[in-house]
Amino acid sequence: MDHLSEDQLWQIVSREIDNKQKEAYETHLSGCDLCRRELHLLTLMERDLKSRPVPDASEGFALRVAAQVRRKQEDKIFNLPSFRIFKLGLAASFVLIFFANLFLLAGFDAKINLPPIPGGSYMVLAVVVVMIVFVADRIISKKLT
Amino acid sequence: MHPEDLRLIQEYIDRQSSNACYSLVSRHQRAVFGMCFRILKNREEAEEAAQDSFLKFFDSLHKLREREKFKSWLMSIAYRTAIDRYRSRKPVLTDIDRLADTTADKNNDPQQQMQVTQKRELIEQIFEKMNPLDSSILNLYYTEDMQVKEIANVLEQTESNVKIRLMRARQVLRSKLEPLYKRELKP
Repeated sequence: MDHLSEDQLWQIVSREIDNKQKEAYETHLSGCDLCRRELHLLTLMERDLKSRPVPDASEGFALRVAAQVRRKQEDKIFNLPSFRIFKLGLAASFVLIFFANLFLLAGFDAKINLPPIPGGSYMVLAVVVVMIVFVADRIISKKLT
Repeated sequence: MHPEDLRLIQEYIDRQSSNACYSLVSRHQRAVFGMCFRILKNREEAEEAAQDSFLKFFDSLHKLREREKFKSWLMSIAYRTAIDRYRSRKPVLTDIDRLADTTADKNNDPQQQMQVTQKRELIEQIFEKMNPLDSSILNLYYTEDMQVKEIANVLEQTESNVKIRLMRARQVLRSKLEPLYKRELKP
């Protein structure tokens, strides 16, 4: 049998061979000083490669990551479509309730006079306010993402 | 896969638990940071890349079907994140075959090189000069104890490519390191 190749020797060191191969290689190794020396060299190299110091992140790394993940989760909740629709609905409701109260108060008490809005009605104003709320919500969502 | 990892993943998915998140990061930060550090060779950048990797990991953890493969998946994210940063700063890539000249010059006295620290220094020098893919293959193989198939998954390479690169990297290491082992070798 020819000398074992470097690749074959690495396979022995890394235990990447089956029993049949192992037997054949061992037979050769028992009578070949050169291959045994080579195998020893690769074994020593593997030992040092495996014991290379592994660098670690700075102290508190896991805490910082966990905090970041938490923040991302919270941002996600505030960005959910259902939550955004809820926010929008809530804002619109407040606006409508406010104007409805004004109209009701104006109806019951003649002393409260609504100031005139040039070129539009209070309903138009309410729609404009709702649109402003919607745009603001979009801008906030984009900033969060 | 360690059963504790499986339990922590389940806990995180079920309850978005910060404790589970912290424990998972603590258990795997060394591997992830190590991967990033050895590609980027800069502590601050590596820490940022490792942090990004974990954020991506937790962001899509619920989509992971084969949970027992989570480590490969996490390492794959870390590799891609680090390599993207590495490419964006346009460093000079050194091919593994061109290592011969550079390392030989610095280590021309085999007697002194017998010291363990010097041996380690030389190994680190060789790793530093390798391209990121080759050094990542060696790191995953020797430090993370991963099999060729797993490494191929992590690095999105074919198994045969990983095998060839591993073989070539070992050949380079052997040729560079042999003089340092003379005293340790049996006559």
